[in-house]
Amino acid sequence: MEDRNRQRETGTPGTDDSNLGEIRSQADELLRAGDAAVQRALSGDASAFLQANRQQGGQ
Amino acid sequence: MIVSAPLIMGVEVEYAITPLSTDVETFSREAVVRKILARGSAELVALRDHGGSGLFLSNGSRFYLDVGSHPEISSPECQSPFELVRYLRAGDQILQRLAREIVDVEPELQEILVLAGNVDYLGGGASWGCHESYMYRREAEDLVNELTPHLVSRIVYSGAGGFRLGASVPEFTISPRAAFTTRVLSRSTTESRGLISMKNESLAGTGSSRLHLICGENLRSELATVLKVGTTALVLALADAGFKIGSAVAIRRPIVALSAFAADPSCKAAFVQTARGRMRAIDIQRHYLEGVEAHLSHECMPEWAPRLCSLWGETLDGLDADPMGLSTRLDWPMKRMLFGQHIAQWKTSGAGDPAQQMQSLIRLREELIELDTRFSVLGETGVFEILDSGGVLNHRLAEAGDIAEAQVKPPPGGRAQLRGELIAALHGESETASCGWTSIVDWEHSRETTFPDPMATTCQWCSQKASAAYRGEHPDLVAFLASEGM
Repeated sequence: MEDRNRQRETGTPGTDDSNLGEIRSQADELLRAGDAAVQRALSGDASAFLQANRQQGGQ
Repeated sequence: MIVSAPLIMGVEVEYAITPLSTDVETFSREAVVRKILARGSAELVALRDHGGSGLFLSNGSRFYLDVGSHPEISSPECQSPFELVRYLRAGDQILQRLAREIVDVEPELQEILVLAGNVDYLGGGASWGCHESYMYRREAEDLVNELTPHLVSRIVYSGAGGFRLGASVPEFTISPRAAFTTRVLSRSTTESRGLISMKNESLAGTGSSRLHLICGENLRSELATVLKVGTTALVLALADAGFKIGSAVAIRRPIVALSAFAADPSCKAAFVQTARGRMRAIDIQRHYLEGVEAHLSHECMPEWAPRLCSLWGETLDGLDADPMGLSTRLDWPMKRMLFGQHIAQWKTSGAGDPAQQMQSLIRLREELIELDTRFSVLGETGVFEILDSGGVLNHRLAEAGDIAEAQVKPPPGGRAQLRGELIAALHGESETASCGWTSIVDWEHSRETTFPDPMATTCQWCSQKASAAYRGEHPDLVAFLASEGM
């Protein structure tokens, strides 16, 4: 239990109120960065990309 | 009294390759994969493997071509999940570097996408593996009963996230690989796949066997990877020592339960019937966690078990509170947040007549699948890596250690270190030496050395008894490598 509490103090997830604000803040940051990342990564022609990306099955 | 075997684990990662070029004939997937393998053979400190289908590298891992044009890197034998994640990241970086170097010298090749995902949703769908291996000593039947509830429920943290196969409207799933898992046990690894492969190939000496799991997914999050492998190793260690933890939560219909858990990103709605009544995946996981924590002082538990249990418990707490609170730490909540944002933007983009709405929905579906694919791209164009390098993710573990060094050096202790050091010594010295998981043959000097024990720290050369079996498994690839001057 001590280990678990120590981890929460260093930013790992938990359920107590003190962490909720931090979790929300991290999620907001992810959304902002995610939007930019997605715009940068997507090809603009998903249909053509998916055809080029057709894969054979493996194991 | 049963003395448990040391905890030895490894993971085989099959990658997918997508070349982007206007010259699709010259740079077909098959041609590019062969170029990657050839470049690896020319550049990496390695020996070709006995069958001629690939290489063993100086870090103790194996790099070869698997079915379906999927290059595969099998990690060396590792003794902790933290060590294993280091070698998995090292494998990613090796393959990505080889691909980038090919692009650098081929102007017609725009990019080689190296994909770390496991599913192509188009058509009837296709999947390729991320298999796990664990050493054990007991009869396999005991282990199947002990492990099955764990393997079905661990997807709450080990799922890669994606879409349900065959759905016309995108339906999120915690684990897209689950749709390709149709039974508990299977002989085949390419169709009718099971949670557990029955392949009887120990790669170890007498008294030890290899548990081969084929239901897992390749993950980008270090935390998720460590949890996937570490929890499974601990559950297996208890079962191997004779403790009955899993049978108390035996699931009546495991594959139905896997499908139900995969379809429940709330982690609260799906209950399945177990020997202890109706339980959620989180409840089953807590049962296993409590079982492991109750035995932390037992000799079968490794030194990293308390740390792993700490991460395990925190993650279950977080999932119980709100899975999306783990959107910077685990793969599937990360993807779900990104997908949700993209869908929200689509909803506000306006709609026309019904025909336009249908076209718009089809385009959304395609964009979401592309986003899922782009998430798993290794290197600076991949969505995960863009986010990671931007500092907004919180998945890394300090124990993962030095990934750059792990590209060339083997993990310390055991035969992985022996193998890696012998490869480094023989590379360039012997033109004809070949390597396997349990032996190295130096054909030029008619000698061989074997190391069937995964914990072996010494080995001796002895006179080699020429065996055609070493050369005979993959004659086409032997011929190819020879034609490439390898």
